[in-house]
Amino acid sequence: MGELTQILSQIENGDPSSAELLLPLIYEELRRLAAQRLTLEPAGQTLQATALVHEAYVRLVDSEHQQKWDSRGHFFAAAAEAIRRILIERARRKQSYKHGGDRRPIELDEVELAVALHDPQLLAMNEALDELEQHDPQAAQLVKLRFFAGFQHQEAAEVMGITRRAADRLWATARAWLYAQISDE
Amino acid sequence: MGHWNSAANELFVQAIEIESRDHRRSFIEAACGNDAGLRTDVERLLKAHNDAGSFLEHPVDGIAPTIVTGQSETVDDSEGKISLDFLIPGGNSKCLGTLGFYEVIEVVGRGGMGVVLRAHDPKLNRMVAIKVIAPELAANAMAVKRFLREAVAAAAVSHDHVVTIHAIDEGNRPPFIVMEYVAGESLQQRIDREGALGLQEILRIGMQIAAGLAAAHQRGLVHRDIKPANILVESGIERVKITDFGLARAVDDLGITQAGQIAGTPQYMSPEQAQGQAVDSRTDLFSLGSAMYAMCGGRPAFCADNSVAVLRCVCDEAPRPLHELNSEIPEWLESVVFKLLEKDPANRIQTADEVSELLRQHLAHLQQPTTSPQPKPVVRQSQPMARKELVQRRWSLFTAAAALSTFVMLAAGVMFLIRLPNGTVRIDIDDPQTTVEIAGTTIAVQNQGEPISITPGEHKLSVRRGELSFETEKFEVGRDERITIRVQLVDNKLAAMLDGKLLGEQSLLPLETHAENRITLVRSFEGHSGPVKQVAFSPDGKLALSASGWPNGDGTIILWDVATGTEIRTLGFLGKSAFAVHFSPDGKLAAGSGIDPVVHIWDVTTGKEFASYKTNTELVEDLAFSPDGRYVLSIGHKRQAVSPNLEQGMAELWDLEIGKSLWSMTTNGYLKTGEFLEDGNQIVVAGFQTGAAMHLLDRATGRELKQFKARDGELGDIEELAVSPDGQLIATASKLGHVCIWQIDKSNQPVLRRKLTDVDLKVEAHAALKSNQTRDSLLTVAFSPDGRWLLTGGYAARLYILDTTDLQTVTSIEHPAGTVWNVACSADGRMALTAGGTDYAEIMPKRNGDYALRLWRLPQTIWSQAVGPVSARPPDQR
Repeated sequence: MGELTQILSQIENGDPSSAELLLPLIYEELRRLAAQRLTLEPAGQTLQATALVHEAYVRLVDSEHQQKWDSRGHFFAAAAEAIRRILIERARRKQSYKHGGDRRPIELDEVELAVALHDPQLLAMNEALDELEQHDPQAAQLVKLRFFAGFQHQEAAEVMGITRRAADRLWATARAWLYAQISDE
Repeated sequence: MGHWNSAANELFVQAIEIESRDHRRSFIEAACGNDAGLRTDVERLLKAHNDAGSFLEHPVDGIAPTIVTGQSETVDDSEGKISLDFLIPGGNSKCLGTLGFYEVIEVVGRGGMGVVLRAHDPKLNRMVAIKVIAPELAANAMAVKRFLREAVAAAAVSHDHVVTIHAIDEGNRPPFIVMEYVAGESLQQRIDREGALGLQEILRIGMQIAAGLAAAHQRGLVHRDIKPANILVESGIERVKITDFGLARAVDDLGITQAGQIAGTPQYMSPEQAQGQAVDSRTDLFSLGSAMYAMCGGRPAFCADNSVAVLRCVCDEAPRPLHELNSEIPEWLESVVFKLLEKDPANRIQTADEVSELLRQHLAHLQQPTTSPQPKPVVRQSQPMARKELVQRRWSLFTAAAALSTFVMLAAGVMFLIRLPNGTVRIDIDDPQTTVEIAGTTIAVQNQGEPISITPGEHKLSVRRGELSFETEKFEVGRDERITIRVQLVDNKLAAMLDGKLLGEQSLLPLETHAENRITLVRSFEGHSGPVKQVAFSPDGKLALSASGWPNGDGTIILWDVATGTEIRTLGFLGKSAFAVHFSPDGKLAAGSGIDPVVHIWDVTTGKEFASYKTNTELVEDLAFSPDGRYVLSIGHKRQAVSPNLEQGMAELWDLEIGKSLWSMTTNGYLKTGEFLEDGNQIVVAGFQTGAAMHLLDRATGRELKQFKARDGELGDIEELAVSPDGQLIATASKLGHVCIWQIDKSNQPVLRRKLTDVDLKVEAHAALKSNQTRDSLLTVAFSPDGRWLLTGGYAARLYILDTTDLQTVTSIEHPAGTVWNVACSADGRMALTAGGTDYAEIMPKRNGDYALRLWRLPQTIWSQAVGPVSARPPDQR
């Protein structure tokens, strides 16, 4: 908890480079949490990616920082990115080859996360999202927060510090553009 | 491929805010003017907007998170605030949100462990009650288990007077249970509102509760939390239903509630429950008595200021006579109620059926005194005065206990736990191979002598030494008592002694004690730098092959000299992973495969590649040579064209003489292993069980001749199969720890099966294993050359020899390379080769041994019994 809190404080104090330190930390925590949860839960259970993110948040971020919208924004932006990478990595791996010998899920980035999309859709979505990020980082962040971190629309707008109406427009554009991208391919 | 057009995006967001399609069209026409490109882009977005449906509207895993917002929606409740964060906003305007596909309408109450919601099931268009585990408990695995157990328990009972369970969604966060919605109120609410009920009503309700309980008891379930709040009274009709099986458990389920922990509702708890003693169905009858008392008297039988005092009353005090509270209660009814409230279960009416019948007769008599006779009054056992003494004695103990107890209050007094002052047990062990388990703690030589704190009461030890295990008699541990138990190995007997008294003993398996019956290690072959997935002996037993592969394998196939355990050469490097390697029957060729979709064949003598065949699969899991050496079978997987997430198993047959594939066949699910039968005309393949466990194929055509089945998923994936030397039997080792013997000509079910290690696992331990799934998985199996014995092993890091006639363990030995990924038996039956190195039963692959091959000398009993010596073929390649 200490390390993360420190990083969040640094970000708040105007050190943007600290934000980069968040991702690996959260990524690790998510993997650890997933592993821990899997040992506690009955066989065949899948983990909900978004629930995991929020659990990580409660565990990693102290209550003082939990009150601050800034901290939340930074944390969840990084967590959404972490979940996205985990899912994409997994989908890619599944696309490229199958492990031999055994079919047991081993890692968070392999099979346990429940995902409503098929791998090809996820990969296509990922590419389109990368492209969107280049054109409109804010729109991409909104998508990531809602889609990978499970934020409600209103919450996402709040942590991004934009009005609900701005978020509505951003969302409509992002969603239509991504959908068009994916269906064109 | 579209592109980014900021102007188009801007027009798009404006356009979608225009309701009328005509207005929208004219807006776009006006805005775009002659810019056809802009117009195309806007229309492209609009089309996507219309087509997208719910695209991206739900998070990637389809659920909304449960935590986060500070300002969560709450509903006032007598117990405090209930957070409804877990609801997904949406549904129609009347509902609070959705849970799964259910439209939640209102909060109807708070049960023992969570919130109860009224919801609409749009699919079946009916009202349901949904019970959601309380958020503060959702993170507690034990609580979740207990919560889900309710559904499982209650679902097993189908009865008019038990609330029906429709569905359970344990995957949701938080998990929830969907139940029949009973319009009405709880019996508690009725009593709170009306006070004491009318006589007929009391009888009718009591009779129905008893009938519902009888149905539960018949299924071996004890409710353990019968109280007016858990009895639902349907409005309009006088029908009640028992709900909240949250504490119910099978009488013989030793699972969750530990000794010394008390769960239930104090006021309606039985004395045996309050004291943390073992309970049976009669505890529910006491609680039924309490509930009837409340109906008769308008107040609970046992009242006090706090929970401890209530428990004291439950254990030690007689309730006030009912006629003092309600003059309308007849003597005979008071007798029935007090008979149920007997402190000693043996003095109560013994079954719920009897209670139900008795009340039914009374009701009948009440309604039709002329045609229905009044049942004989029940005789109350206990004499109030005599009980007083007992009370004194019990109470002093109980005060002591209470004074030292830790109370954990959950959900406002609905359930609480008492930890009683502990006793301590010390275990002395004199044998390093023995481990002892008591109350969940395992003791071995290393940690012997450390006092273990355990709850007072009866305990027993589980003693284990290799394959051997036994449980001792029960012994009593008192509060603050210290006892020492010695576990000794004397004269081939393992014995547990307490103060010179024998608690239990067992003789060691005779085979283990004679040197000639042991498996002995000859040497290790060191050279691989990753786990070894398959090993093979050359027909003359002089050479060995090994393949190192996933997870973290070194990808090589190595040829070894058995006599010295040294590497002759690396035959091949197959990238990340090599999975399979085999000698041809004449020992001249070696076939290997791995992560690339290629069957590699090498000349063993020269190490040169002899041939390679590109398969139609993504990788090659296993290979087999036909007995005449002409054909090679390759086993792999293939992605389905239509549904790329599903894979098919694929077997292909390669003719080495003509150098091409003769046929291929596919199965649903993966294939992992395959062999030729001894005459070479048939092939058997197996793997992941979708549909069939194994398929018998015609060698010439690949046509399926027969399917072998096991009840769905019962065995888990078949990891390896072996064909007996006479070609009659197939042995399989599978994921859930079973060894099976199948008869090729006979039934399509296994003729013999044994789960190798679960006999030694305790209930609780086994539940834990289930979560990491496969600690007891078996990964490999091989026949001895005479077909009399089987060699097998798996994650348990032991090599076993089983008797094929009964699958009993003849002997076993620990495997220094950890997981036994593969075992091979030499053609003369004297030697075995094993390898492994990585434990994969845990979440992450974990190294649990070295990566060396092990050469073992098998017990003389095994090879000397061979029906006629197997002559080793001359090593013509060396």
